[in-house]
Amino acid sequence: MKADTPSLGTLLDELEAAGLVDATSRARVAAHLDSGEAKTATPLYLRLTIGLGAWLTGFCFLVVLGLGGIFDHRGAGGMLGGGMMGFAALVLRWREAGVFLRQLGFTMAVAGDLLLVFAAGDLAQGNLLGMALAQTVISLVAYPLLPSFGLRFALPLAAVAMVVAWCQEGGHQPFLHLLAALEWAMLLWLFRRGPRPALLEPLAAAVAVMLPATVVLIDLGGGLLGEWRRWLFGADLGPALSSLPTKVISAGALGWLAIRWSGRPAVWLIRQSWFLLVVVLMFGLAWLAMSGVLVALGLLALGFDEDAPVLSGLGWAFLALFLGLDYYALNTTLVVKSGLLAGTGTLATLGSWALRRREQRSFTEEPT
Amino acid sequence: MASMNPLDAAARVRTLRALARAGVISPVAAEAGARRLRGDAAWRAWAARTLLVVGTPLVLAGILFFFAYNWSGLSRGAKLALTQAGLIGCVVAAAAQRADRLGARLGLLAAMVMVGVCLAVFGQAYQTGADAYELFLGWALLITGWVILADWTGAWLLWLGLWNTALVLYWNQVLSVGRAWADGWLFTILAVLNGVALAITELNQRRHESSPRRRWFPELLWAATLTAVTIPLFAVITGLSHDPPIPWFGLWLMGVVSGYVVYRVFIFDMPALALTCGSVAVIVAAALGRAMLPGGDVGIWLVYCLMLVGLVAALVGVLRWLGRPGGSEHPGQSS
Repeated sequence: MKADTPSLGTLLDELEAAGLVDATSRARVAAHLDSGEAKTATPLYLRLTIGLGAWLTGFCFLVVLGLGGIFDHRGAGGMLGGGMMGFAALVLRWREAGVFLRQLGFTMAVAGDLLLVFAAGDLAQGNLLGMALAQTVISLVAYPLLPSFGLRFALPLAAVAMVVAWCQEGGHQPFLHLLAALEWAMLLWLFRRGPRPALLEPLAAAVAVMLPATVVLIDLGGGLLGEWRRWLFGADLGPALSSLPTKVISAGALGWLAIRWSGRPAVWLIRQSWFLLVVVLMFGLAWLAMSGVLVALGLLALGFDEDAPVLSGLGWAFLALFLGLDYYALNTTLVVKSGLLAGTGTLATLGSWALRRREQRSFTEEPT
Repeated sequence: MASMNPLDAAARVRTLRALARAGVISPVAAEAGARRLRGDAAWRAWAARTLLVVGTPLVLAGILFFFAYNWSGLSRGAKLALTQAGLIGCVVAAAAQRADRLGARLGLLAAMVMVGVCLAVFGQAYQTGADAYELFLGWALLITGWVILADWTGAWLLWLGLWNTALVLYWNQVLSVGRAWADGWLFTILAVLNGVALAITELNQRRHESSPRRRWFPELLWAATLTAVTIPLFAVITGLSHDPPIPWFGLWLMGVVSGYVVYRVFIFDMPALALTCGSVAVIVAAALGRAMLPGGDVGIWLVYCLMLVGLVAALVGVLRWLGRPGGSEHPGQSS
């Protein structure tokens, strides 16, 4: 079953007939796509090269500074880090900067950020909350100042990673639910329909990564992650974290997406049999599976709606991860596990078959 | 050749939004177009596809775990009969659908996986002390016909993965036992295997230029080939291996030069060129590190850091130069 996708020309004709574009738009669109202007965005391989290079050289600079004894004087390290961030902002905002200077700017930003956070940690006597706050402030200030997709992607992730580390270390795991709710809200806001400002593109990518990453920790709180936490923080585990709040939040977020995307009033939607089926499935999943499964499904749906293969790929990767974790977290016998897997798979396959049948029927019943 | 008129290409949501961002069409028009592309039928098609892709492996995993649970209680005959029934079921499910449907392909892929399961069950039921490589070799040989008939990238990927695994196991379990053969030879064989597969794939794609080009598979094969020629030289440079460097340098040089020529002159492919340049950068960085760092003081480290920054900058500069508009003879082929 393949939905009928019109050509760009046909779609423009339809939009013209609806009065949304004028008669010259075909020529303008063709000229724009032909000019190569549309292809000026930095390709993925180049972003990866620049990003990996920046992190590698950033850590090398930290080694140099460490060998020079800067970590014995954290105050000086912090000031140097601030200077490096300032240098990076100047270089990256300079339009005439060559490749070497820009690469040096990336490197300085990474090393400077780490130096600042270490200095803040020293001031806060190793308190992770202090470091998390420092990283959040740095991220908020540096995000608009550093015009680089890679850095703007990494800065929010770094802040959230520090907050998560604080939650894990201090036994503040319930805060993770609040974080997940905040991340869901940001995801829904950033991926609302309509063109996104270029400034927010890296933030959208970062949120799409940080939400499932946070939910991994929630789903495994007090379970498989226990040993890891004990090893990393030596912390007392405390009571196991219930993932129910995040499940409810995730199911609610998906329901809200369905309502928004349908473009129809919620009352109309509630009367539709397929919507009721989706709701039952969502609650079934929320009851049986980890909340991460719902998050991964959300990413898959957003990836399709946005026509973003990277987002879809992320959704598939996290879906596989969460299903695998689900399997390990099921505290039951192998035969029950196999029954659950085969039963869920059969339901999904039957659902696919039913959708195809419905589509074929509506196609044949369509008046010619 | 495919039509070069951009308006003849299938409309994409991301194209419409990019056009709106560039101010070529209004955001309202872009959203109306996006709604047209993401209508109820498109969502149903997406849901059906997603459910099928999720459901098939879950059913297979459920069946596998069911047998794992009851395994010890089953007789040899029952074990073999059950796995072969699963195999036949997958083939029947695949044959019941049109060959170009996703369901048929997934069914055949599942059948190919079931061949391996059958072989493993047979090996467990009648233990002969055979090496594990024989399982993978037999598996690869047995599914060859299906792979050729299916002519689907997923099937080719599984088949090549099996050959690579069989080769690595054969090397470790048979060839290198009691012999002082350098591991570099294993990587050479892997490079040849993946390189030949790559050459066939590229020739096949050139023969069918009118069909849509999916570059990820040849790019993956090139990554595997390039990794296989880079590892032996990297190991020698960093001191992980004490082999003479000349043969591995020759192998690596041959790999990167041929990759550059093929992907620059004959088939313009920027990600493949980026991988090639990345391999050069890794080797240069390793050689510089080996020459400068052991016993070096802070100053030497600083110089090395700056050289690394310069190296990455040079790499980015070269890639930008290679990928500049009009930088290839076949710009339409860039992936």
